[in-house]
Order: sequence, then structure tokens, then C-alpha cells
Amino acid sequence: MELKEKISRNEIINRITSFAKKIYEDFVSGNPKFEFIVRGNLKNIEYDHYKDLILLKKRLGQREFFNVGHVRKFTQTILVAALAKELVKTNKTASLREVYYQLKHTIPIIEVNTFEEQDESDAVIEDLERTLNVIREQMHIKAERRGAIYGDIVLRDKRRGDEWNCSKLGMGGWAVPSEIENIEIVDLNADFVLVVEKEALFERLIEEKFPEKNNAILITGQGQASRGVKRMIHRLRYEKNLPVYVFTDGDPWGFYIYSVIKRGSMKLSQFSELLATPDAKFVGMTMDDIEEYDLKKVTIKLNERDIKRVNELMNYPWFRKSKEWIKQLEMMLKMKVKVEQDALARHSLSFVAEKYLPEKLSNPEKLLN
Amino acid sequence: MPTSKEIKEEIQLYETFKRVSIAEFFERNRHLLGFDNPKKSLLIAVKELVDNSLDACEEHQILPEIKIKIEKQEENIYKVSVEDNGPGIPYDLVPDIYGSFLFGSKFHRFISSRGKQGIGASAITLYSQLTTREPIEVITKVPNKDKAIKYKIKIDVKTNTPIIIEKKEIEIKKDHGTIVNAIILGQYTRGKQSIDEYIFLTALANPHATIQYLNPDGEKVIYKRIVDTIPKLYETKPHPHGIEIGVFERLLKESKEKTILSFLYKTFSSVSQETASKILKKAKIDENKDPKSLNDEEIIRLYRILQETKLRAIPKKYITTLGYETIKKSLDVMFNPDFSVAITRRPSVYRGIPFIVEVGIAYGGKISEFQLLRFANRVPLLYKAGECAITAAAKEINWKRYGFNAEEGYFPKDPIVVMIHVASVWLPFTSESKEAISPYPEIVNEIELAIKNALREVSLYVKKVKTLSNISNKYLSLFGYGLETAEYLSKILDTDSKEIEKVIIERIKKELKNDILEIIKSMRELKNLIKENKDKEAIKMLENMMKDLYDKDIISKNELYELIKQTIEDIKSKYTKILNE
Repeated sequence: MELKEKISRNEIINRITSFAKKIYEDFVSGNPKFEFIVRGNLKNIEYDHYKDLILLKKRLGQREFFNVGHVRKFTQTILVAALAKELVKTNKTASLREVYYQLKHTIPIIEVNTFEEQDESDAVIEDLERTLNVIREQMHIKAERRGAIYGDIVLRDKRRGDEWNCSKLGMGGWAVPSEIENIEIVDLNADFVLVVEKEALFERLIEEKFPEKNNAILITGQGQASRGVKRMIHRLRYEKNLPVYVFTDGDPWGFYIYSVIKRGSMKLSQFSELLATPDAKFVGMTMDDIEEYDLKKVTIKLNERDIKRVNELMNYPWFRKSKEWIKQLEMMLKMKVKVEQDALARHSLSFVAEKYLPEKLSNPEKLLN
Repeated sequence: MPTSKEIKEEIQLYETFKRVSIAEFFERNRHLLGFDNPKKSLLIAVKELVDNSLDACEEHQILPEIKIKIEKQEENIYKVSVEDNGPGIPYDLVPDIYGSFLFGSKFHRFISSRGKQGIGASAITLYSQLTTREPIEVITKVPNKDKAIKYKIKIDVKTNTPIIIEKKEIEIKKDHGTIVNAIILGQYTRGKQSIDEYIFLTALANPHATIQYLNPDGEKVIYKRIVDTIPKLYETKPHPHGIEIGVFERLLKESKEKTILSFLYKTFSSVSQETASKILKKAKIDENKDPKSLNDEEIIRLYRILQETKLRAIPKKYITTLGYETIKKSLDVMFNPDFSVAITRRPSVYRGIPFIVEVGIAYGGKISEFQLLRFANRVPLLYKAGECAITAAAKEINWKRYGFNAEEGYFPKDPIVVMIHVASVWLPFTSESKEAISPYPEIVNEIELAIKNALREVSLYVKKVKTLSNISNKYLSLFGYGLETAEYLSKILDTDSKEIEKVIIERIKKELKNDILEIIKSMRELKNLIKENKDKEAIKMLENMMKDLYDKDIISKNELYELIKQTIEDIKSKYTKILNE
């Protein structure tokens, strides 16, 4: 299955044009408005216990021109739609940031800017995805690259024809774009995938020659994984049958990063089937690791935000149902500390690559799920 | 009906008065009468003279022209001068009025008009005598005499009789009227509870009078009359309840009736022959006795029983109200507000005695802050606000709920003037000085209801103003975003942006017409103007509310005018029932 339906550029152009036409007709004799599927949030997502996926309960919202609360977003959506059509027509792409800058200007009469911050245009682009039922890459809008892949894996760009081996590109590996539908996995020589939260650890492991010594593919999301990274993880698991292990900080943010890779995010819940990897396993850092690996002296005190987030996680159905995870979260609250991946360097720089990871990965059945 | 406590107090005061000399009584009760301190004493003196003048004019249906002058003579010594165009005082009555105390005729409670709320002109004479040793000077002229008469009078404190220091005939320019001059100890200040404020409020409550005022700083202000109708005072037979015992005694002594029985049912309203008979039987007084022959003990006994007997209430027409149209006009002229409303409630009853509450509220315009103005029988109440029923009622209002800026338990910070007038034949005051109305629940509740009535209208107006200012913003927004939308839609649809712009602008104008309709629906003023075919005025009002739209060149003034005009025409032809909602 693919992330997007195979729709042609023409089809995208038609969808945008129909969208605009209906609105124009509404102005002629009706109430100008458009409908869209409301973005996923805690209230309108559905947790599928069986599939262990977060799915979206499709609910329709609408934006009306004559509603003073909506008129700004309404107008912004038309702006983005117009730029998207132009991009697709001329077969060019623009990044999220570019879209923001290209469309930002001051509207006369009211003297306000079309967009104040990039957040605004990012959100409108997402709205348009849900309105037209496409992903932004189909509108030729791409996110900035974030995340990288390193290992003995050969990839090919179908559009351009290039091929490359991700272990031969230097210390940084290959920067994963936000959409990889045109990327083909040509060859692969590895036993498992290790997803690492922080770039610093990613580079540490490469320096220690971990991927070579353990026959692993390393991926970093550089924090919360982008769509491209998630998609890559999903494809490596389901197209190439590689087990996936996730290694993050021992704090609520790390736990959530793992959770999203595993079962999808609320925000992008309409894509969970394609982005999530339900049987990804969690390596660490766990609260037990603190004791196990003598890290008491290098823990960090939880701050108010952390505590608030821990409590939020404990309320998510997919955490609530897991005794193991509730145990971890309760331990965290009780001990009042968090532990970072880098804490392992307390013992030595190579500890994480030589001792910690190999030990943990040798007993995959003991890992958190 | 007065309470037994009130009856007891009344009798005690009377007995005390009968026993001690005037001077002693006055000294003992000075504070009760309002002569607390020099500042207040000056005010009371002016108040008494002005009230007398207004009363005199009203009784003779003359539109009052009153001139007040206060001159500083020395430190703390002021000359107070009040001149009126009243009927004048019969020359031989002047000494008694200004030179002797008649207990009860002007001391204690009201009977009907404001003057009887006062303390009596002779109190001023005595106060002047005691503080500056000066006599009171009275010049008066009646129409049927060629010359006026001028008196200088003092009081013989021991015998309670006038001492005529001077008396002579003089020529004056007036055909009729009275001038009173008194030199007294006082203190003039400005601001709250000052004479300036008092005169302003008196002018507000007496829009039929023209009042000129020259203050000690040499500043002159003229309050020109706003209406030409003089309030009609229905002279009525007094109702026995609330009449003071001194008045009762005087009525007995002056009565022309042969028997005490006929005195009772002929002198008073609400007393039938049968009731009079019953009362006399209870008082153990012979029905045929000559009223003039009753001794003190019998007077007191009869008075007490009269007060304690249940009687019919006074008919409502004897209550003098200002009228809501007059209140509104007066507020408009004196405060220059954006909006005003006034109501006169139907009579309510307290202890069997009817009273009427009138409320006038003025909002915005030249008003800068909240003011609560209290009036009892058209006399401004300046002191003891904390004790007053009016204040208590105003405090009960949840101002915030009406859309005003107020914290719980406090008056609002908005520019509102709330004028409350309580009128009755008899009002219970908290003390002898009659500065605050007793906050009995029936009275407080009625005032509260009255304020709420008026406040609803003000609240609606304020809300409308807020919505209206938003109308301009709403359409600026819509036109701004609309033009932007037009441009980008035309890019997607590959058509001429001007065409799409036209469509969008037309659609927005249609929406604007709907909103104009809504505004008219919600504003009584506009509905009335349209009903009266004053279309031009209505259009102007609406234009004013939306001038931001043509100021910023979004639509032309003409277009806006046409739009409004069309909407009004639509109402008249299609939606006529809106006008009557």
C-alpha cells in the first residue's frame, strides 16, 4: 500500500480548481464555505486496540467566509490553494518555509499580514491536505528534511535515477526527505533497524562503528520523526521484514516519540496505517536502566512541564492499557527524575555502543513493547 | 400608619418643646435640624429660602424666577440673598413667619409640598441672631399695593415673638415677589455636598424654574427653565397619619368647627363621620366639645388614638410627580448625554400610604462618571446617603449583568447618571433632618424595580452601540479579506480578477444590507424615525455608525447611502411588521 493514492498531477489540479469553483459559485448565490475533515486530537481519534493504531474518527468541520472568526483562515486557504496549483502546473516544489514567504504580504484596507508566523501557513497547508484528501507532497509542497539514515542500504530516486549506499555518504548518512514515495530500496544488508532519538547519539554510534559491528541500519528522527522517517521505518519493517528497535531519552517526550513511531500520532491519524510500525520495540532508556546501569548520579530532576506531560501520557488509552508502561511512568513520578541517552557516557563514550545496546538487544523478548 | 415608636417619639418631642424655651430647644436640637456645622448651616439656610420661594410660586401657579446670591463678608461670615417673583407675603404676616417659631408648622415631617420639609424661615432668623447678631431682612411686595415693605426682624427668645427692628415702605422695580437677606456664620466650599451642587440639583428637579446663582467666588450661573408647565399641587385635606402633633394642635386651635366630631371628619381626608365617632369614644372625649377647648392631655390622647386607628389611604392624585417626559428633558439639558430614559412607576404602598418612584438615567455624552442623585418630593438629598433607601436599592442592582463595568457590590465605573425621585404625601425619614429615606423593604424593593426597568433600556442601548462599532470592523475585515480572496480565486480559475471582485463585493453588500436590517430591528429610535417617515434622519444616523466604511474608500458614500435607503424602503414595503415589534 502506498501513502497516497496514485493521483496524477492533473487530478490534483482538478481538485484544486473544483474547490475554487464551488467557492466562487457560493459567492454568486449562496454562503461561501468549504468543509474539511477535522484534524485529529484527543477528542476525535479512535484507538484501535486490536491493530494497536491511532485512527481518525472522520468528523467534518467547515470554514465560512461570513463568519468573522473564520474569514482569515478561509482566505489563507485560498492563497495556499492558488500557490499549490501553480506549483503542480509548473512541476516545481516549494518547502513549507518558502510557501510562507511567498504568500506573506500585507492586505490593504485592514493592514494585517496574510500570515504572521510560519505556524499559520503550516496549519493551513495541513487543512488543505484534509480538505482535498491529498498529502502536501502531492501539492508539491515539502517539509524541510529532518532525520537521517546510515547503513548498508542502497536507495534509488525513481525520478532522477540516482542510486547511493547510505554507508558511503560520510558520517552524516543520508538526510531523509519529508516524503519518500519516489525512493526505491534497491539493496539491503542488515539484520535490524535501530531508531535513535538524538543526532548526537546517531553520530556517536557511527563513530563507534556500531552499524558495521552489529549489522544494523541506523535512523535518527532528530527528535519527533518526520513523515519521511516514519515512512522509511514502516517500509523497512513491512517491505523488508527488519525488526525495529527504538532508543530514546528516558523522559515522557522520548516515550511519546516511541509511541508515535509505533502507533501513529493524533495529528496525522489519517495516515496511521501507512506511517506506524506497531511492533517496534523499545530499548531504552527505561527507569530500570538507572539502577541496572548505575546511572543514579547522572539523572536530571523532572520539571513541571515534564510532570504535566507524564500525567497526560498516563491518560492516553494506549499507555493506560499497558501495565509495563504505567509502571515506568509511575516510577518516573516517584523517583522524580529523568535520564538521558547521553547519561550512558558516564561510564565511557563507547559504553552505549559496546555494552548497553548489545546487551539489551541480545534479549529482545525482555524489551518493552 | 406610623409605628407606636414613631408616635411616642413625636409626642415626646412635642412635650419637650412645650416645656423649654425656644433658644434651648433650638440649641438642643440644632443638629437634628441640620445646623451641624458652618458648611451645612449655610446650605440649610439657602435651601429653606429657595424651597419657600418655589413653593410660593407653585401655589400661585407662577413660573418661578429665582435669584440666589451668596457674598462673603468676612472670614466665615456670609450674606445669603434669595429673591423670587412669587405672590409676595401679606405685609402683616411677615413678622410672625420670620420672627416666631410655630412648632410643627414647618419643623417636622412633610405634609404635601417641599416647603413643609423645611425647618422654617424663623430658624434662619434665630441662627443668624445667635451667630452674627444680625436681624433677617425681608422685602416683599404684593401686586395690589403701590409700594413694597422692608422689615428687619429678630426673635424674642423668651416669648417666641418677633422683634421688629425696622419697618418701612420702599419703592422697588418688581410688581410682586419677596427678597430675603440674612447674614450668617457659614463656610463655602465647592464640590460634593456643596451649595453649588444643591442648586444644580434643584434646577434639575425643577425644570419649570429659572434660577440665577452668584457664588462667593463671583461666578454667575443661570439655569434657564426647560418646561413651561407648573406642577399642579392638589391641595388636599391632610391625612391624619404622619401629621405632627404640633400641626394637629394648631388645626384644633384655628378650627372654625363647632364640635370636635365635625372637626375630625371635615378637616381630614380619610376620616368618615362614623370613624370620627369611634375615635372620640375610644379617647373618652365628648363628641360635642369645642375643639378649641381641648387641654394638652386630651390633645395628646386624641392624637395618639388618631395615629393608631386604621384609615383609608390617600388618593394617588395628591402625589406630585415630575413626570417621565420632564425628567428626560431635564437630564438631557443638564447633562448632555448620548442617551437618556425616564420612567414613572405606578403607585406602590408603604404602611397604607401610597408613594411613587420615578427614575431617570442618562448615559454617555458629556457625562464622565457614575452619579446617584437622590430626590424626595422634588428636594435633593445630599447627606446621609449610606442610610438612604435609594442608595440601598441602587446597591442591590447587579450592574455587571446589565453590561456595565462594575465589581461585585460596587457602583459601575461607566458614565451614567441615575436620578431617583420618590414622591409621597408622607415619607419616612431616618432622622428629623430628613436627609435620608428610611430603607424599609417595601420602599427599597420598589425603587430597585424602578431602576431595573430603566436600566434595561440603557443596557440595550449600550449593547447596540458596541455592536454598531463592530459592524464597521466586521465589514472592513470582510472587504479586506474579500478582495484578497478575489485575487487568488481568479488565479486558480484563470479569470479576470476584476470580475470575481465584483461578485464578491456584491455578495458582501448583500450581507451588509441584512446587517443594517438587524440594526434597525434592534433600535427603537430608528424604528420610530422610520415610522414617522423621518427617513433622512434615520439614514443619517446609520451612515454615522458606518462612516469608517466610506472613510476608507471601501464603498463610496453614495453607495452606502443607497444601500441604507434601499433597506429602509424594503422595511416599509416588505417587512412592515418589524416596525411594530
